Amino acid sequence: MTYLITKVKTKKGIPIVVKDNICTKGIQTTAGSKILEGFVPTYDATVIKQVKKAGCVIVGKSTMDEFGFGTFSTNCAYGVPKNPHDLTRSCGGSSGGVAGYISASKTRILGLGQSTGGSISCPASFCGIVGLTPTYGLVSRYGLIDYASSLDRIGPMAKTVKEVAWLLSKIAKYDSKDSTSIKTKPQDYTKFCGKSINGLKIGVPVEYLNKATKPVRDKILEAIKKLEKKGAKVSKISLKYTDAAIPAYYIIALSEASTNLAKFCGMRQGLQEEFKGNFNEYFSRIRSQGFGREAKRRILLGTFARMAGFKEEYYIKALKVKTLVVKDFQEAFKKVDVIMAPTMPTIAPKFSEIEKLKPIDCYKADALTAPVSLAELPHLSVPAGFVNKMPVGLHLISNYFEEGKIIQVGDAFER
Amino acid sequence: MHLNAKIGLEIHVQLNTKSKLFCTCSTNLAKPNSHVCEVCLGMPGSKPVLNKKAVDFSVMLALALNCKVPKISRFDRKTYFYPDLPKNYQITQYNFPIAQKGYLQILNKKIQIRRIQIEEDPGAITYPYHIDVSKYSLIDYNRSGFPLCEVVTEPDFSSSKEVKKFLKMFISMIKHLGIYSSNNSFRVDTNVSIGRNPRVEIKNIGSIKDVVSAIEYEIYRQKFVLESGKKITQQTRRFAGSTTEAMREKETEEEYGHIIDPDLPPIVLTALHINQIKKKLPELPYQRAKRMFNQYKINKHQALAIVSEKELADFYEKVVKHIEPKFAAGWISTQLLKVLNYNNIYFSEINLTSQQFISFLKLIQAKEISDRAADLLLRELVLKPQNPKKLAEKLNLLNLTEDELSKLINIVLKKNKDSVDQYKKGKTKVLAFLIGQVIRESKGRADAKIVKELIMKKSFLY
Repeated sequence: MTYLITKVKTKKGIPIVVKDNICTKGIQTTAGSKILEGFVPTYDATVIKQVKKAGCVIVGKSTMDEFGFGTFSTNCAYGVPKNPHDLTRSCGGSSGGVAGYISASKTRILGLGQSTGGSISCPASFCGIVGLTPTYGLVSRYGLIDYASSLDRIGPMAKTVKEVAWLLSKIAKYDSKDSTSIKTKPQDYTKFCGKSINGLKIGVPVEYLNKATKPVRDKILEAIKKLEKKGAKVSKISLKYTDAAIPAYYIIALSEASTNLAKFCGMRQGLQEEFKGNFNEYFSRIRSQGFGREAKRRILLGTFARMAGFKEEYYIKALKVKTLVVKDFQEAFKKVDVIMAPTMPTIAPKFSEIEKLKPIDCYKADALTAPVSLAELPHLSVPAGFVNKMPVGLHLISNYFEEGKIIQVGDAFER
Repeated sequence: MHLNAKIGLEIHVQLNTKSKLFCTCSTNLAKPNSHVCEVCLGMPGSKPVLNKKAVDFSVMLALALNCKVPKISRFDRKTYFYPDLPKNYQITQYNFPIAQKGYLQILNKKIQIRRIQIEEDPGAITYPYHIDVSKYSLIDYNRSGFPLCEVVTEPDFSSSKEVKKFLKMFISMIKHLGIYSSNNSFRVDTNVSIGRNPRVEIKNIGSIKDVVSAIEYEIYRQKFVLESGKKITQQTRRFAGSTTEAMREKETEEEYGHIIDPDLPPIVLTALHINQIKKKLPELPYQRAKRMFNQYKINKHQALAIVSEKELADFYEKVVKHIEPKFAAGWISTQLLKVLNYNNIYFSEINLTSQQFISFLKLIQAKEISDRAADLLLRELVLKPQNPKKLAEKLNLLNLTEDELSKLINIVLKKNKDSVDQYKKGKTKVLAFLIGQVIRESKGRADAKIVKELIMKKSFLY
């Protein structure tokens, strides 16, 4: 199967599959790119140290869109993972390898995914598993190969909410090696499982519902009924900056990505060849060979957006939009405890459909995950039934550091 | 054609923190690539963590240079591809630097400081032979991530002399602050323009002397270009030993696509913290000069000359524990600095100890050596510091002993019988002639006052 780039012989322990952009000491870490082929980190990412301490053993490093650049795990340098529910369909991206592997596995297995613009929720939704993206700063990014440092988050993936809650408890700790890590009191998130949701206020943004296809929307409406039966008070809300989030997200993410990817030039790690010409020529040659099409596109777009003359119009404006999106959510959280929506507007598309998409259409597929990613809010995708035998994801979003609330609702929904 | 030069400086000072700017690697000298880690090597996944000491040092410098320190400053990424730059971007400060708008006073002129920014040093490229003939180059990443403070002045200088004064005082200041030592590197970029012509930038000059030479050469070159009817173009040049040579033409400002470094949260400095730093600032050169002026009753110019190098000021304050301060100040601010200037070296570059200098001054006070001979002795002493008395003996510079002098006077008086007679008859003017004769015969190794007394006593014997 094409879920793993590197398979690891395991000892006894709780098996865990790790997205290949998280550094593992002594195990090749490629971030899904040819340019990092053969790169073996000399150190473990903080989350790896934490899960090892918790008794987990790494079974493999999973395929992914190169550096996380994709919504369907089709921009992979080491094979495209196929959806276990229908091998002609995508696993979703970019943590598609993790989601596919967990979904296909018959036994208990955990996963460490990573999201920049929805890369945990999207594959969780498409593969019918659970994925949680914690508040930015709750989980250390030290050892994560950066896509967009201000948006990147590592999060737990598994088959059940309780497993995800358990894994989150092990990795949600302050880390002095990551300057954006936030000091919080470690807690056991499994204690939110089994708690009643009676009286909890849940908001459903109309903009999100409208973006979903009818069958997906119907599944979400069913989910609302189920939660209402359990005592939740569901109301409709509006998030008016929803459409502004995608362009702002892509501009910020790609601007940062274009600087984060500058270091890959065939000098210190990964792809190398005989040095010919001057260093500029050598760097260009390695980068031309090592980066895939989508990586090149994103580096070019990101570089353009931060150049003098364009920066004000793009990068700076995008930062301003980000604050508006944040405000939008903060207004909503004055009225409700949790926001719920479809995770993705559709079920997992077929590869034959994806081939026909233009890059801009692929970017638009992030419409429901980009706003929460930009706002740095925690979000959880839980399976909400099937459409055409394909899983649909229910998205639960809470305010900063209120992971407990979405775990509580997600767990209640699951039971 | 009289055209004024306008000169500005960008000074890069390596701060002497114990560890690097964004990791815990040591800043001590070590064999190449031994003080490195995943952060300063820019390994994938690594993240920077700011060294707070470097921030405090920069704030100290900002306060000493009368700058405004805003509550919030940020780090940016400056992207360019170069083999010595592990991440192919440098973490620096662009839109929100640590400090802005200050000044440093020199020669009745306020040189304005535009901004101060904190940034990381790249690695160091070394070549096995001369750069032009080397087949390969090596990179030492020990330097990668060293904390640097970049100080940018307004183009307020009009001569290399002003630049020299400024840089000397600047270095004295950062040494007084204790944020820099001679082991740390100090590099300067300077921009020079004449009249309203485009400015030329000279990059990466490693010492005050070279900055001075580069500016002098550049002013000369630009005037020559203009006088030959040609135009000066906006350029970047490098200093090549004594001249400057073109590196590249600059059509527009270079494009680095700065963005905020998302791995680093803003630096937030509370008024309280800035005040604590302010209170703990050590005595700075100008304050020290003022204190010396009051405490030792030396004059202002002497005090300023002495504090222009921290090592010299420390030296002086050791000397005055044993020597009358005014006397010591006189010898330091005139003779010693003259000798250093003549040899184009700084006090910090020589190994003269305060003990040696005290012995030297004591020789003068005890009239064991004449002022003139002492002058000669000092020239030698500066170049080869050693026991002054022994050196003076070796060089035959010590005054004659009383016996020797007495004998010499006897000889002179005998030789000039006529003059002695005239003196005895009351022609006092002749005395000066006789003293002169003795000092000449002694080859300057006699004190005029002592000679005078001896002649007055002895003349009646003849």
